[in-house]
Amino acid sequence: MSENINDMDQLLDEKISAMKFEFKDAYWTEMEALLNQQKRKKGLFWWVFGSSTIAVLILLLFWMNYTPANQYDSETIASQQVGNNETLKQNTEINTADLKNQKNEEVKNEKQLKTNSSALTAKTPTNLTSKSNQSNSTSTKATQLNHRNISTVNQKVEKTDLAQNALQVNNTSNSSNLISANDNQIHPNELDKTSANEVNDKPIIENTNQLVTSTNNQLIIAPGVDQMPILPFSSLNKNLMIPLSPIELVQRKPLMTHSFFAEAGFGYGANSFSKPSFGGEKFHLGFVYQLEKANWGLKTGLNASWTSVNGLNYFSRQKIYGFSSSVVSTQLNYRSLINMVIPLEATYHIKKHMIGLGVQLNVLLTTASKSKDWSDAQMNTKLDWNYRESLKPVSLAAVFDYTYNISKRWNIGAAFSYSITPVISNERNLFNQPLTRMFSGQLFIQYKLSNFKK
Amino acid sequence: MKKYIIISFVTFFGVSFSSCKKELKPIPSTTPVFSVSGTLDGNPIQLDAGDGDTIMNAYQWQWNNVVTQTGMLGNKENYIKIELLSGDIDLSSINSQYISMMVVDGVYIPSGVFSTLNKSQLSNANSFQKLSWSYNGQNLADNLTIQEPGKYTLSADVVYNNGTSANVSNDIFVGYGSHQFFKLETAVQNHILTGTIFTDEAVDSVQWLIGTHSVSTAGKQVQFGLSDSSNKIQAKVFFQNGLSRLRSLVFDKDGQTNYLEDYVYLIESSLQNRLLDYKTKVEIGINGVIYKTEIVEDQLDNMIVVSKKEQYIDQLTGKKAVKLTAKLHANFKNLATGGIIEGTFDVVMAFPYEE
Repeated sequence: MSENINDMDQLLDEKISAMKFEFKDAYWTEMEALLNQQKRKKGLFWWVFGSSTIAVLILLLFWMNYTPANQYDSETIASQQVGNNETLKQNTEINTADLKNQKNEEVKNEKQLKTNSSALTAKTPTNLTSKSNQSNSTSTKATQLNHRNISTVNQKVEKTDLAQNALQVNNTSNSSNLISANDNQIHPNELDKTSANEVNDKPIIENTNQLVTSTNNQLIIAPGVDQMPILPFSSLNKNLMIPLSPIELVQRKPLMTHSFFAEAGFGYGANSFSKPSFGGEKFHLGFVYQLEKANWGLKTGLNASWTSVNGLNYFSRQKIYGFSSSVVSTQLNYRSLINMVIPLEATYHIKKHMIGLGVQLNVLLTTASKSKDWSDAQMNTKLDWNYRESLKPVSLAAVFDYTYNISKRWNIGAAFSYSITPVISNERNLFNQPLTRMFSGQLFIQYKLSNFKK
Repeated sequence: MKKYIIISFVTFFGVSFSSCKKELKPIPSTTPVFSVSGTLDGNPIQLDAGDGDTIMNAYQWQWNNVVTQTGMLGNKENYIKIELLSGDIDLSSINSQYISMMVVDGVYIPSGVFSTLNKSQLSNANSFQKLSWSYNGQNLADNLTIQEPGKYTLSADVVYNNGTSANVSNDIFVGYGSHQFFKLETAVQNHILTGTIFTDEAVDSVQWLIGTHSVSTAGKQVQFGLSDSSNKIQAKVFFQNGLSRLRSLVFDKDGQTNYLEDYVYLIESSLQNRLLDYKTKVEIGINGVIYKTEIVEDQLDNMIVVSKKEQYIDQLTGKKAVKLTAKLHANFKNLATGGIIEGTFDVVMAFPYEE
């Protein structure tokens, strides 16, 4: 490939050096016909291409769970291509329309073209519109751009012998610097004043690796981007090819990042540090949703939390009356508490570190307990589920957590919570529970299921 | 994204909905079920079954072959005992009926003689050389005196003046009403005996038996020829209320002088009979002093009025009982001093119940 390009450079140099720029009205008439044809075809093509690309990318983003890295690249490309399409369309419209209107002006510029053509060795063809009398300011700016040796694009094409070779070469990093092109400066003389000003207000990008070749009666202008992944030129044989716009490096508004994680954790939960403690191991499993903008974010989710407890007892002694009376001891030894936890936190992250502070709602779903139940005039002891004597069905806790991003998908962290509202009701005969608030500390790991930016 | 949200919701709400809260089975009663509270001669009395050594004891008591329902609430020193007496002792399903009928009856236990039967009351008293009574093998006085109500099988042994003898036994109800009350009248002429049943109850049929000869009739009268020297005549009356009752008489061949007529009717038709139907006996013990209900002349407000009757199953023992909620007002006699005092109580007590 490299050799081919070098050969091609040599060939181009030779051909261009041998070029004779003559202007005839017939050339323009022919070109006008071609442009009219090109206008219809290119407009339809780019509309279809652009719409399809957008649709496909939207589908990919939302339903196929792009990986974060690829997703970012895809978004960049998508954005670039959309920008290119828009610019291309704009340029095409501008070019074709203005070229029509500038027929006479082009004639006037014939001499200048000839003069400038010799400067192709400097890889900068003379801007046809620099002598446009439509906008002096635009011309002036364009001229300034030339003076700064900044890319300029020719829209007017001359028939050359080189075109007969139908040689078309895409831009590569090693391609010859035949023309410095920047589509942001395309035909500044053909733009109306507003458009020209907008264009010139954009950041100027110096492009050093451009290649311009021409086919039969065509001017092929390579994109002004170093690493353009796709050059949609192949289908434009015999047509005017407009460079794709470079990646827009304008500042964007920060995107909202939506992330979904699966989370699992383990730790220890207890009724503070009081004695006797009813605490035990604690596990949780669930999902986390994280919304981030810049460094700040919100975090919520839903998870099931299992807490092993030891020493959390419900006990009552009651006299049963009848013909006589007997004392019945009712006892529940809670073994496990299973909660549904809904956190809501504000987060702040720096690089790979993130801290969160907020509250979490604990809804008691069920319990496992060893119960002594009164049944058929006897006390039956059994392991049973879902007794909730003396337990609050809902409680609120303050939570603080730290998360460290260890890879694109994996996070690890630690969370600490402390009950704001009691988890145990002392309305009944629950004894040996001086404090009714729970403290817990857990380590957790998160796996990113998906994210997207919006 | 959607699928994770869906999975999350399905998981947690599934768990939530499947986790219906479970409650410990409620203990039957944490407050006293049976209690008596009120005043006796102005002094408050409160007894609760289950407090201290106070218990509710419900039991059946058989008094002269008649079953009574008794509830006793208290302990050794302090107690109240209520005994319910049936008015339907000859019916099979007596319990439910007599309890419901208690509402309108007073608290009254008569004392003294319930029934008497002298030989002179018999129409052929001069024919007897000897007439003796026996009950369960125990000889009674010739002049029969029954001092306690009950259900008895009373036997009569008779020796006629000519030296012949006869024996017959019959069931008698003393102190209670009977739904099978009847009188059997006999008349003998020319060795032909005519038997007639007199009763206010509806009769279905009568089965007559003389010796080995028996006949059933729809009517209440029958005639037999007396052939043997001593004839036992039995009439078993089938009433339309489902009850039946047998009455036995004896006649010699002549049948004019030597016979023993229907003494059961004479006993059961005495004035003192039926006094205990649906009556209640109440006894109270306070610190060793016993008080019993005592009728006071011209005082008609000795009443126990049942306001609620419900079946009760004791969770500890599984036994069934009838729980009566009632108001009791009665005069009580201090058995130590003989003084009469007034007592008023709210009563929730258990009585035996058998279906």
